[in-house]
Amino acid sequence: MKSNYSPQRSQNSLPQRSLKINKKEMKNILIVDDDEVIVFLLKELFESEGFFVKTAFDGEDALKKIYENGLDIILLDIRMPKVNGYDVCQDLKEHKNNTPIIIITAHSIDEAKLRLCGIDIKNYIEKPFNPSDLINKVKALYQNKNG
Amino acid sequence: MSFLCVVILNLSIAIFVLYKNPFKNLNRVFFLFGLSIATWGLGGFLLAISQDRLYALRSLFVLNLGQVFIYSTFYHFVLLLTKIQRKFNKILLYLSYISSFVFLFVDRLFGLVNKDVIKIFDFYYPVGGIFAYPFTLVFISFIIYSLYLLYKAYKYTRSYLEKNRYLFIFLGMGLALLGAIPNFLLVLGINIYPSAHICSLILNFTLGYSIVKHQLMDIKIILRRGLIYTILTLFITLIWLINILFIEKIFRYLIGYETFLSSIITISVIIFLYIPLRDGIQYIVDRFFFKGTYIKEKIYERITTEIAKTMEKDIFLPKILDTINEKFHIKNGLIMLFEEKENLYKTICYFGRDVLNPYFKEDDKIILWLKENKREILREETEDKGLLEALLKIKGALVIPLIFENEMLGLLSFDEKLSGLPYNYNEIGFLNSISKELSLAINNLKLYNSLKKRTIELEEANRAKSDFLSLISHEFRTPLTVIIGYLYLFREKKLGEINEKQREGLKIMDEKANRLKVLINDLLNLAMLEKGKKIIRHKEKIDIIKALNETIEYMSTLASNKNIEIIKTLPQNVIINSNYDMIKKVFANLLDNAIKFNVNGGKIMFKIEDKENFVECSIKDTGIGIEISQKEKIFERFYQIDSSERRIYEGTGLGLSIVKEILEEIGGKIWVLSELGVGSEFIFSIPK
Repeated sequence: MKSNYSPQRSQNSLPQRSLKINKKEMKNILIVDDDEVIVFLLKELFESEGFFVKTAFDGEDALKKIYENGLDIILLDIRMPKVNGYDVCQDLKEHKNNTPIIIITAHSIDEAKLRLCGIDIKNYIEKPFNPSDLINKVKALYQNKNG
Repeated sequence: MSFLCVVILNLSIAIFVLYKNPFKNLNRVFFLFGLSIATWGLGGFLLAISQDRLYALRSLFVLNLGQVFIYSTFYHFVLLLTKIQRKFNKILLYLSYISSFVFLFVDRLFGLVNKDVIKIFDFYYPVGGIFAYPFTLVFISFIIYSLYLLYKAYKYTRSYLEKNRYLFIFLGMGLALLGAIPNFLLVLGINIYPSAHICSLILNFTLGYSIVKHQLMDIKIILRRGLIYTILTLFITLIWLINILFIEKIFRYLIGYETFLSSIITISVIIFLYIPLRDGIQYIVDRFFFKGTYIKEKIYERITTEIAKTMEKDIFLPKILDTINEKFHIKNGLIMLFEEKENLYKTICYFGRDVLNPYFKEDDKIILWLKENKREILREETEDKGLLEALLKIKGALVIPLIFENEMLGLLSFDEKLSGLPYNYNEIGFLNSISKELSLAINNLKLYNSLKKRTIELEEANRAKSDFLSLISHEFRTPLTVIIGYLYLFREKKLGEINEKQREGLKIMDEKANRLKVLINDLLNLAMLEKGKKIIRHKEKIDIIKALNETIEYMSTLASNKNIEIIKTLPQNVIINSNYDMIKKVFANLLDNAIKFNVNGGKIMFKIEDKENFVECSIKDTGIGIEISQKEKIFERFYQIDSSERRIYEGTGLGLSIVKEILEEIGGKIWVLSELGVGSEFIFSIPK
């Protein structure tokens, strides 16, 4: 198991260095899930990786926070009260907001719907996930976005 | 000769009638009546051929024996037929029989009815005695009274079937009586050519007609044959007569002496004519008495086609009713079927104006009757009040049960035809054969439906199982995510320093949590496969070597725990169009097995070969091996080679089945080479 995590540790060093270079360039991440425990875990996980974490527990709250703050990455659950994950994606697409989104869900997803919302199927992670896999994916997306 | 015909016809009809139902009074009396006429005919015949006076006198006795009973038996027959039960008529009946016997006796003892014979028109004829007058009077009055009863019955009955029967018997007997008048006159001394025997032939025809066409006394098809052969005999007799009367005379005139040549010619003519003549008569009989046989074949065909077309009884049953109605033009009609849920015979479909929506209970009289007798009910012939009530309820003049293998599935009911004509036996037979066909179809339908229901139930149960499986695994996912997540945080010391012992414990926990994760994913994949969903979401260009290396690295601890050496023979990199996670899953499952079933300190050999259109991968172990008989079974779900060894080898037995399904989904295949106790080699190919 140890070997599994080893490559990730080496990758860690790069973004941390960039953080040091430009302190204003904080990596803003929004975690959206109706399960509080998951939200706190992910918050812990990404804060330890040097992200600035915002949280939301439903789609409506999430949309509000997305439009208020400039975000770098959104971790989004699909099944949520009020406004679900698909609707959030749809709303963002309509407002031409192309903040990268990673879908995290415990349920099977409607691929066609996701594609309609402009989500790359690769940016979909099933629970339970390897924390290191998720971190790698988020970091890759962040780098992709910022150049 | 016509006397002979009278004998044959009457005797045959009488015997047929008796044969059909020897226990019914009506049939018995009719038999007696037929017998009387036949005896009279025989007497007449013998008289006609007698050469001397003594012989003629003996024949006269036979003639009288028949003749004295004609009127009493006929009167009896009419009484039974019209169901008249008045006391007066009963007394009259006794009187008629007594008088018959009296006449017989006085004639036999004193020769008072026909005392002598006389030769008139080349034949012997009876000469009446003193009693000839009262006898004629009694005879004629009884016949006329019988005819009057028939007329009354004809007038008052509502049933068209009965009306027609009465009419034909009335006409037949009336004509026969008219024909008999010259005979009486002759006996009374007035010389007129006797015509009774010819007219009695008419009676035979009308009787025959009403028997065939109007179900008089339950005689069916047997009569058709009888009729055909009687007519045939008549024809042959006619030809023979022509031979005797003309041809022979012509021959004698030509040659000058008697010869049997003419007989030979006539016989050969008869032999040659026999079959075409029989067929011709059959055709004519069918046309006149059994009309509609030809059209029925077409209807039958249409009905069987309708049945074959669909399995929906709501569609084909009304169509069948319509088809039947098209042919017969019936006032009302319905089909009832047994509903198991309610234990009732319920109306499924009907036509007509005033059928409501009747049903029968399982123990209703009509149902019990049909079950017991397994044949149709005709309202005309029913006397039972309970049955008549039931018939009234469904407005049925003809009710046919639908029976299959002793089980009554339902019934067909038809009212009178619009024309008022009754159903003849041919039609009833036809409807019966339709009912057989229908019973078969309905029974098939029943089987089909119960099978369908069972299948749906099974499918539902299976779906419920899959749903449950997927629900459970989903419910496991979130807690497991949290466990794995925090374990990661602990181990990466994000939440503070940990000592060596804690690190060891966390490592084991992480291992087990990951094992649980694999299991849950397997279960979920299985649930999805069972629902018929695809588990591969998308394909991309991936490096299969990278996937293998990652898997081996990920599972290296498991291997090193058992001191297993992993040897790899791999090309640099092999790019295929597939799903990375699924390829990893295939490798992981196969590697897991190879480790699990390997011996301590064994070896695992990986080999990947890049063929032109596909990639061939092989994983060879030095484990326990697989028996030949088990080779196919290991790819089945939940299968492990020896159930008793489960305790030794943990796992669900799902791994290989999922591997197989994944490979099949991406168009690959897997097979195994193995030697018991030496090891196994799993080889799979994936298209590029």
